[in-house]
Amino acid sequence: MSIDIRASRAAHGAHESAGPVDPAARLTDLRREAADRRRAGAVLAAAIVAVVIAGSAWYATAHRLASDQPVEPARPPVDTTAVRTTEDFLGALRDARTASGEQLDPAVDRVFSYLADDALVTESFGSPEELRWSLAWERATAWREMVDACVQTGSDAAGTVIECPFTFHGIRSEEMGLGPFRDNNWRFRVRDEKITDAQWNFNIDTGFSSQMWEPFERWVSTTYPDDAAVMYNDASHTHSRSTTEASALWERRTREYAAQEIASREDYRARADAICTSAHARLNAELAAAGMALQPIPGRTDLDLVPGREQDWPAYEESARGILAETVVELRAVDPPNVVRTDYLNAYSALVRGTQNEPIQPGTESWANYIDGPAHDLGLNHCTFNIRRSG
Amino acid sequence: MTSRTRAADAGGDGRPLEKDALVPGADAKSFDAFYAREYRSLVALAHALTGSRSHAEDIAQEAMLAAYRRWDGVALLDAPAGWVRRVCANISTSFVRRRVVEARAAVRLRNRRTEVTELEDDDAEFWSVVRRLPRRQLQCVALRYVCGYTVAEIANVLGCADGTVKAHLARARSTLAQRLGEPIDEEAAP
Repeated sequence: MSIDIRASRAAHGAHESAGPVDPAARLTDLRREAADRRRAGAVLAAAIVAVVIAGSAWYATAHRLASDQPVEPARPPVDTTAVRTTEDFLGALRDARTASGEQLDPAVDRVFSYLADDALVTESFGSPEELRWSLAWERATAWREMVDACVQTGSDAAGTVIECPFTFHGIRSEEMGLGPFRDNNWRFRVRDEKITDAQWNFNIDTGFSSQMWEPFERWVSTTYPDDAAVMYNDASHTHSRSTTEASALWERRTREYAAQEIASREDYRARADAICTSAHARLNAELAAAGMALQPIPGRTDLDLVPGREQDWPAYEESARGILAETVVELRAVDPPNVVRTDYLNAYSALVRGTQNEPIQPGTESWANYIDGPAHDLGLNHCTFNIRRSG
Repeated sequence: MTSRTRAADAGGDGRPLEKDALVPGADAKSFDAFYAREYRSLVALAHALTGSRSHAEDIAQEAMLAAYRRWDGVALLDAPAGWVRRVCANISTSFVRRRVVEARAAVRLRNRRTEVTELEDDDAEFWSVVRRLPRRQLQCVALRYVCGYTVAEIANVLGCADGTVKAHLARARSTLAQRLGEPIDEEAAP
């Protein structure tokens, strides 16, 4: 049977598989979805990605692997030549990322020199031209890939399997204080000192889509729709366009977006600090008006009861929890910017726990420790008050 | 998130559809006919490109949603079907967008029962090898054999030259023949 006949039969099989589909029912779904999106003002996948982050497992990329055959676990001796080949390939790629002008083409050629002629490769490595465009996009968006040590994970007749974990920054995440995004890996198969299969595997669960790709796409599509039409090569904005004009726009608009997000983060932090400082002052005034004897707490700006006045503690705490509850409402009245949204929502949840006189549940971080620790840079340190005794 | 999940539920949530769901100026009947005519083909195309029948429906739906939102422009194209197939092909082979749509499919399938028809073993093996081709070769093969497109039509869909499509198809056929141990019929070359 020729490859064309087999392809035709496989195509027929694909059409057969679509047979049970009911277009009328799906058309109803489509109209409803279009109406929902227009009401919400959201684009494709913000909530969907939230579902993924909330509960789904690491997405298996098995279909991108070179072979469907199971790979045996690594056994000694280690194929050091294969490991070195992959490390050299990644080193060449790293050099190509920083090359420019007359040095770019030789650097790209060097990357391809490690690939077998019939290598099966991931996106962007289909040809030297394709890689050049990919590198141009990476430079425009401040992409940075940090690869850990490569490890042999298997070996069979088709070659030695090498995995190289990496983290990365993209769309100027590093400038915005987000990322790096973890739990990704390169997976190679090496035979006779040539890479016969190279797959770049990316973990959607660790935040790049929800924190960087989707918010930027929403912003540029809304703010600069004509530029977005140039920057993306399709109407659904799934892939960047490979042109000089598009690369220039990617650099210009990601710079603008990052600057805007950083500025809005600073503005939001200042707002939070002002709200908490005001709440702090209100509490001190309320406690003083109630005749409570207070003293400073070393290293803090809020006040504690003086020794011997423990009988005032319930009234002290009631005032503190009440003002904190009012303060949380005021803080939440304005949504935090995308770049720090998760941090603030977690901090607000911690503050809410502070307003409730509940025991600390196992596995739940003390709300006060949270505010004093990771959330300190959010401008919320004046919202801690002194009610840590009850959790 | 809750309302979006309910919207994805084929069982519905009781909310009435908006009468003005189409963009202004669009022809509701023509889109409906286009959808009925093209949807199954899109599912077949996405199934071949992704290997997942359940995700293929949602990728096809996503491509149709893009067409729906821009229907007043898409309807005026010489080949609206080519436009939506390009969108479908790009979503299917995009590492970011595709995983987002697949998460949507996971939500949808939890909420309704559906019969999922998978491929026969030989066909599944064929498409499994096809999906390991470089992206453009993969798309060319799928458009050639699943959609039955000529070289010129594939070039129009993907926005490249005829010669580029021929090169992609030639290399893809050679790789597939080697990997699957099947001969190449030179007379069948596009």
